[in-house]
Amino acid sequence: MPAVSGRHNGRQIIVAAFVAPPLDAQRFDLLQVSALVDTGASRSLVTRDSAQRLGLPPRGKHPLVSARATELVDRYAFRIGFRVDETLGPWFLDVDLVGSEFRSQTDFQVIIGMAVLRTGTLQLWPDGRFRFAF
Amino acid sequence: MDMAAQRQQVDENYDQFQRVLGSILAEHEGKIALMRDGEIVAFFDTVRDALKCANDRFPDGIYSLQDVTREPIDLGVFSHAGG
Repeated sequence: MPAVSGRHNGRQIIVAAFVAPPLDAQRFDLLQVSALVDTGASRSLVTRDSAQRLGLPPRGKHPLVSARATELVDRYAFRIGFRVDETLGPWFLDVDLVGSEFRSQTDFQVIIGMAVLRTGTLQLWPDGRFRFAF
Repeated sequence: MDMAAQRQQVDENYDQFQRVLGSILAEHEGKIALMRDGEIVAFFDTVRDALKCANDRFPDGIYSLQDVTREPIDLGVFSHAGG
C-alpha cells in the first residue's frame, strides 16, 4: 500500500501533493501544491487559481459552509497524488474527485477532506510524524 | 471545450437540479447526477463512473455533475481560522 509521510507542526498537517485532471480526461498535466489534511472537512477542495492553472472546467455547484457564511461555489473534477518515492513520479489515489473551490490566503492550495482520508489509513505519532497510506 | 457554454450549462443545470432535488432525494441520495441541458441523464455511485459516461455521451465536454444531497460541504477547521 503506497504511503506519504512527513512531520506535522503540532497544529496542522501540510503535505506536498499533486493535482491532476481526472483519469478519463486523458490529460496528464500536473500541478504541485501544498495540501492541508483536514478531518473536519467533509470533502476535498481546491483553489480556483489551481483549477484554472490546470485548465479544469467547472463541473457543478454546491453550497459551501464556512464560519462566515454559506455560499454557492464551483466544483471541479480532479485527482490527488503524492510522491511516495523520491525516485518515482507521483502516485495518484485511485479515485476521481469533484471538489469545491475555496479561497485561500494561506500556504496551501488543496484541502484533503474525509472523502479521501476515509479511503486510507492516517496515523499520527507523538514525536510529530504522520503517515497516510492509501 | 467552450468554457462559456460549460459555465452556462453548470448554472442552468444547477437551477434545474434544485427544482427536482426534493423529488429524487429519497431514491437517489448519495449518488452523483450527470446533467445535460437541464435534464438528469443518469445517476452514478462514483465520480469516475459518471465522468466515463459523460465523456462517452458528450464528447464536447459540456455537462455537469451534482451530488444528490441537501448537505452543504463543510470547509472544516480551516473555516474557523477565518479562511
